Amino acid sequence: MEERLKEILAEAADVNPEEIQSDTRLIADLGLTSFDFADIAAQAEEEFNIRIPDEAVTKIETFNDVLCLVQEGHIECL
Amino acid sequence: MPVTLQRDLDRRNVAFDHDFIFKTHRLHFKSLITRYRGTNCVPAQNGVIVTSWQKSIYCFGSIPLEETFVATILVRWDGTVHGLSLDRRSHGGLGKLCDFTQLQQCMNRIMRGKPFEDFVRIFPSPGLAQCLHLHEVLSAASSFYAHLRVQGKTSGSEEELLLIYPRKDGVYAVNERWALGRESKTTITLRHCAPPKTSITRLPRKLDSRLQIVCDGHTVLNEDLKTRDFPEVYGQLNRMLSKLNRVEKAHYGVKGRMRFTNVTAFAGLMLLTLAHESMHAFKAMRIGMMLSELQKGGARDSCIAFTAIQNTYKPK
Repeated sequence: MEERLKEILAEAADVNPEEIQSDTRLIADLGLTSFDFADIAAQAEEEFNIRIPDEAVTKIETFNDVLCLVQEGHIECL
Repeated sequence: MPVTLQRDLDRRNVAFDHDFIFKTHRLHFKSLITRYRGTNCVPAQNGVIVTSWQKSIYCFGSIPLEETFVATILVRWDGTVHGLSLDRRSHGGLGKLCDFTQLQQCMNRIMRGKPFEDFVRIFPSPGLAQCLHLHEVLSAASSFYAHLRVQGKTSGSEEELLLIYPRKDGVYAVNERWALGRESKTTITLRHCAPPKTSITRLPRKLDSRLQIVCDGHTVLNEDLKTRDFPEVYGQLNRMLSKLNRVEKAHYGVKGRMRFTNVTAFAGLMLLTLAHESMHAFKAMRIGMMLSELQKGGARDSCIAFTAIQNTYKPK
């Protein structure tokens, strides 16, 4: 899941997945925008069959935040 | 309404003559919100001249407001920036903060010698570039230039025109795009099932609507949009529009992030239209606050620098 999530973010940011670390900041380091956040959330929902609330998306700062959200969503959906 | 792009960028000397960008509103722009943008790359002796522009027109109240930005970048054959200049007529309305001489100096100091494709890596945040709009223009130019490089090309053009109209039962948008000889036309209809409710800032919060996106006659999406608060409106709308972004990327064969597009701004501009419709009278201050709020989406830096058009054009 973590590797696939890195691939999704890497494509959105035009970087190599290896460049994304747990503390990578999505706005300050990767230049992602609110549109990218929504796109990433939509892709993650489709891919992992989870639901990510919009309010939670607005609080994302780092890759680790996205990973936690996806993992939480995954657990909730089990 | 017929929508006509310039479509003759290759024949124009866009790299040295930006007049058409400043004059275009007289030809087409009669809707509530218009956004015309594009990029043109032409090979020169020392590299590629990249010209990129963005023109937004807001017909709020009796005076149309506009923001026009034109940037020209000379990119050496090795992909590094030789120099960057901003058309002197490009300006915002925030006085010293929109001092384009200063912005140009700052951009040149930082970008010279750096790969133009890395613009967003160098300026991940619009705040670092000191101007949200200049950041939009240059990130679009950098993205299109990178797309050409991937294809082994040194010349090519792309442009698009977005018009947004309010309707009795919602909002209608049409975006016409032309890039590297391919065209596409997208219509977006947000139709209310119940009157929208707005927050104290007039931004929509409670929507019971249906969003339909049609691209070149094919339905990309036709779904209900039911929301309880503004973050949900903005988030849901962007999620829906991200499907259109994926369709466009596939249509134009773009790998990675496609920054030369109006799609990323659709949600904000449509919500601004809804907000404007909910106002009983035009209040510039309130529009400014709404713009600021919308631009802060994703914790970005906001800017409300727009200036009144100096001509006699009046919207119908």
